[in-house]
Amino acid sequence: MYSKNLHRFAILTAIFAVFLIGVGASVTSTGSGDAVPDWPLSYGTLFPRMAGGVLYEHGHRLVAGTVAILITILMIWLLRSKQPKYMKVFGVVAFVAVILQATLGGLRVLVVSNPNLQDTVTGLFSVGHVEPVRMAIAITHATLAEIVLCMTFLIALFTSKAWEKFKLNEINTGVKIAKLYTLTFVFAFIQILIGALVRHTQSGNIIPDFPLSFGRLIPPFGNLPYEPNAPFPISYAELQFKVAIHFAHRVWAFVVAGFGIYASVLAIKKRVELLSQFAKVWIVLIILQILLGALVVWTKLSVPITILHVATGATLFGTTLVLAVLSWKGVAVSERVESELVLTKSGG
Amino acid sequence: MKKLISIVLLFSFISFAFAQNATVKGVVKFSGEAPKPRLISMKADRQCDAIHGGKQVQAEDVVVNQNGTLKWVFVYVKEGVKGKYNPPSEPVVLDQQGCWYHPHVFGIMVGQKLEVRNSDPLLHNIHATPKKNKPFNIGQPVKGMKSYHTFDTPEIMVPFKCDVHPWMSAYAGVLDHPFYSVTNDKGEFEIKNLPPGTYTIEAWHERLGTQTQTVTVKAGEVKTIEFTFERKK
Ligand SMILES: [Cu+2]
Repeated sequence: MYSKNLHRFAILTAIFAVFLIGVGASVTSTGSGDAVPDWPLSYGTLFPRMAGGVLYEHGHRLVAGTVAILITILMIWLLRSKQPKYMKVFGVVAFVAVILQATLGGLRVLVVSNPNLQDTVTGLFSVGHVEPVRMAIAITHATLAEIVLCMTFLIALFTSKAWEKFKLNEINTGVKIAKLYTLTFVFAFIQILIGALVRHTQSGNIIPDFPLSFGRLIPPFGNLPYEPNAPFPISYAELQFKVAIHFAHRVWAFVVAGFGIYASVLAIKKRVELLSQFAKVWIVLIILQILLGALVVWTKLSVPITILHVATGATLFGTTLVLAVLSWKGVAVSERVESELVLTKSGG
Repeated sequence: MKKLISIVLLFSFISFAFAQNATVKGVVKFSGEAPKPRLISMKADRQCDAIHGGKQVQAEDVVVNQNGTLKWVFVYVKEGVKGKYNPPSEPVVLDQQGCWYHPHVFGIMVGQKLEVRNSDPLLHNIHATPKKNKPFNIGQPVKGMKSYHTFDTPEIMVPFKCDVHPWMSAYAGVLDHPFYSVTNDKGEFEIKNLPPGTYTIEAWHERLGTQTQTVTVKAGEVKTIEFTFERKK
C-alpha cells in the first residue's frame, strides 16, 4: 500500500498548509485583509501590482489557491489509489474543507465591500452592524484553516512507511497516554479558538505585560486602566471582555502545556519509535510557542513574531492530533475495546 | 408695491436673523514638549516612494504647529443644537494624492455627498470603518476615478484607511448639523452661524482623545474659547 511519491506529496501539502496559515496570519497582522476589495479576482485581474497590502492579501490568495490545487490532486490521488477507505474519506474531507475555506475567505472580504451582501447578512442575522458577522467569519476562517491543516497532517502520517511499521509492531503504550493526548488535543483546539478571538477582537496587546498582568497575578478586573475620553472609547465591559479573553489565552496555554508535557514525558519513557520522537517534537514546540507568546506581548505585536506564534500554534495543534492517533494505535486491542466501553458508558 | 415691501422685509429679516447668530471660535493648544514628528517611509510601494522622491513624509497623527497649537482637531457642537439642518448640495472631497489623504480630518453632514478621488497613478482602496454607519470598501485602481458615498447617521469619528498603504489614514466627523470646524496650522477653529443658546462643544483628537466645554452665546456674540491637550504619558 505504501507509495513513496504519494507520501512525499502529502508531506509537501502539509508543509504548504502550515505556510498558508503563516501567510494568512500575515494578512491579519498587517491589517491587509481588505487591501483587495473584490473577490475572487483582485482588482479585476489575476495578477494585480503587488504593492503594500496587496502583496499580503493577494499573496495569501495565491498561496491558498496553490494549497487548494495540492489538496485536490491529493484527493484524486487517494481516490484512485489502493489506500484504505478511511484515507479516501480524509482526502475528500480535506478537499471540502479547503473549498469551504476559500468561500469563507471570499465572504470575509465581500461582506465589507459589497453593499448588497452586507445588507443581506445583517438582515439574515438581524444585527444592526456587519462587524460581528465579519468577525465571526474571520474567526471561523482562522479555525477551519487548522482543520484543513490537521487533515493534511493525518494524510501525511497515514501514507508514511513509519505508520505501516507502527501498525504492524505489537506495541502497548497504554490507554493513559492516549487519553491524555486526546484531552490535550481538545484543549489545544479551545486554545486556538481563544487565540482567534484574541486576534480578531484586537486584544493581543490589551494586557501590556507578561508574565504578570497589569503587574499582578490576576488582572484587576474591577480597576483596569480605562480612558473614557479616548478618541475611540470602548465601554468598560468591552475592555473587561478583551482583558478576560486575553488572560484566558494565557492561563489556558499552561493547561494545554501541562497535559501535553505530562503525556509526552510518559510517551518518551515508553521508547516506542515514532511516538517518542513526536513527543519530543511536541515538547520543543510548546516551549517555543509559549516563548513566542511572551515575545508577542513584549514586542507589542511585532508582525513576524505574531506570524510565527500562529504558525507554531498550528503545527503544535497538528502534532497533537498525530500524537493522539499514534497513542490510540499503541493501545492494545483488548484494552482499547474496554476503554471505549467505559467512554460510552461515562459519556451516557 | 406691497410685494416689494414684503420682499424687502423678508430680506431684512433674514439678514437680521443672521446678524443675530453667534460665533464660537478659538484655538486648541498643546502643552508640554512637542513630540518628534513621526516619519513615514513609503518603501512598501515604490511608486508612492518615487512620488515623494524617496523622502520620508511626516505623519499627521500629532501635528504641533509653530505657535504651540494643535492641528487636525475636530471641534464641533456635541449637544444643544435644535432644529433640522439640510446638508449642502456640494460634496466634501477626500483626495488621494501622493499616497496620502487630503484632508486628514474633515466634517461632513448626514446625507451630504462625499467624493473620494484618486489623483494618483496607482491603486488605492478606500476603506471606511465606522461603528454606527455601514462600513464600505471601494477599490480605485485607476487615476482620476471618483466614488461617492453618503452617511446616514451622525458619528464621531469615521476612520478611513487604505489597506494597500497602511500609513494612509483620515477621519470624518459626521453630524446632522453644520456646526463644526477643524483646526488649521495656527490651531484655530471657528464655528459660525450658531443660534443663541447653550452648547456643549467637544474637541476631538485622534491620539489625544476628547475634551468638552459648555458655552452660552447671545445673539450676535463672538465667543472665544480655548482647549488645551496634554502630551500622553
Ligand atoms: Cu493607498
